[in-house]
Amino acid sequence: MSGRRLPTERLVRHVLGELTGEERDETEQRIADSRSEAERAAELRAMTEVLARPPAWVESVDLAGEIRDRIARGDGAPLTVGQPRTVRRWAMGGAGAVAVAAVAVLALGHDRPDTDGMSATAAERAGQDMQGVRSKGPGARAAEDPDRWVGIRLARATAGGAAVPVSPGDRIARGELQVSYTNLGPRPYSRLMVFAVDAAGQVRWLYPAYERADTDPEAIAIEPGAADAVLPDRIEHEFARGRLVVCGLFLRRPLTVRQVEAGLGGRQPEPGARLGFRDAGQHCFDLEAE
Amino acid sequence: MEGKILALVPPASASTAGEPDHGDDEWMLLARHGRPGAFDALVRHHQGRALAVAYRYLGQRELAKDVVQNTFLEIYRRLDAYQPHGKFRAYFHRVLLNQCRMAARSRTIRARFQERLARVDPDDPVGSLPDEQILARERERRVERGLLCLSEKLRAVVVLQFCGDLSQAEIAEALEIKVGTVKSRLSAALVALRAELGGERP
Repeated sequence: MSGRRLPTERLVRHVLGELTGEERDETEQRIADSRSEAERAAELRAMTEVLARPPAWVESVDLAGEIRDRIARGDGAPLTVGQPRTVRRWAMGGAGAVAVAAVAVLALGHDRPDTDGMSATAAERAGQDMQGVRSKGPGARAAEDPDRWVGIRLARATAGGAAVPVSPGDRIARGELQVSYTNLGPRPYSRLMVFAVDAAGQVRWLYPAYERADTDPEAIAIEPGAADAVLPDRIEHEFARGRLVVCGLFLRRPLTVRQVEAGLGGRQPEPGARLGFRDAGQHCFDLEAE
Repeated sequence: MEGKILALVPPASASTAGEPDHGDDEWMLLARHGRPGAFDALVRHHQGRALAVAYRYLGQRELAKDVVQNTFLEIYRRLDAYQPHGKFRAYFHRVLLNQCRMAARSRTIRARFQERLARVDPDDPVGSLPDEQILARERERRVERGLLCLSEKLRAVVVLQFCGDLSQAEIAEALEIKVGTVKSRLSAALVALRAELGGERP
């Protein structure tokens, strides 16, 4: 290498401290021997120092007060925007499920095993509810989790028009529900289906709207990169009393309601279980219907 | 009461590679439980680095402030769902970068973005500074302009490493990529940035 200029990439790795052994020794020797190489290394270091130095104006900025004011005005509430319309949707639970089972099988994939070869426990899966950072570990393993950056939230509409968030485990009575979704990550999804499976095994569709038995609507389009985006309708259903499982299914290609119902097989998803749809993210949680 | 809360603020260097940062988790839990001042403290602890990241990413001061505000509001909205696993910084910067990307997608912003490549920031006059500081500021501007010429992927790694002061493991977590990919992107970014600034061929 002597006699030729050090490649910039080598100098960069040197400045970042990523050279080891022979490469590092040789690079340091070249820098010591050559004024021009020393200048190039110094310029790179100066560049990284500029990058690491916060802009001077940052020190004089305090956003806490403005953020506190915005939270007080309701900007921090998850579900209070818009003037949604109210719709009442039918329950089409199980209708035609057997007939389309063969079609649905094509859309289903096998549930993947965890990367460590162990089955995920229900508790681990339940712990994935729309959280920020999962506990599965950094890097590639975390990137494999299809549910990592997706989630849905429900809110109950009150008489005054406000929306009160519904948390997993809450008891809910019949009333209008509003849905919001989060769809982040490096590969956000493009389609969403939101449904609830009640204690009687009936599938109640929130999105897409499923209001006529002779139709088979498909997943709605959603915005990549959206966070807590509120869907337009307030939806009312009558649920069988008891455990109610609410699921958001995030997809890259649209499935139809019958395909999903066939995949569910008329059963409530178990806590923490994956629904098994290929290349899909999901967020399911339990409520208690009164 | 406030004094006790402030005692929980971790020092800036508390989170080192591979070690959980439970200080932020504690603030999130306190805020979730409505403890007065807890979210303010979290904002004040992270706003400086967050502003630096957003500013270097977007190249506009006022827009960076908006983006950082929106990021904290987004974090606040998800308080109930946050699970304290000691990885708040990666989580926070993931949300921050998403907010930056959304802001940068706007057509208006893109137009300003291009405009900024060609001019100095009018919010940042240098006329009254000593020569040495003017030179330093000019160097800073050149670096800022060079950053804006990088691809989004490369720029994101650079701002998280140098402006956000994240470890490479945290960057990998935030961007959902492997640590090896972080290293290679960082190296490629600095080579490209050096080429932008000095005309050196990579």
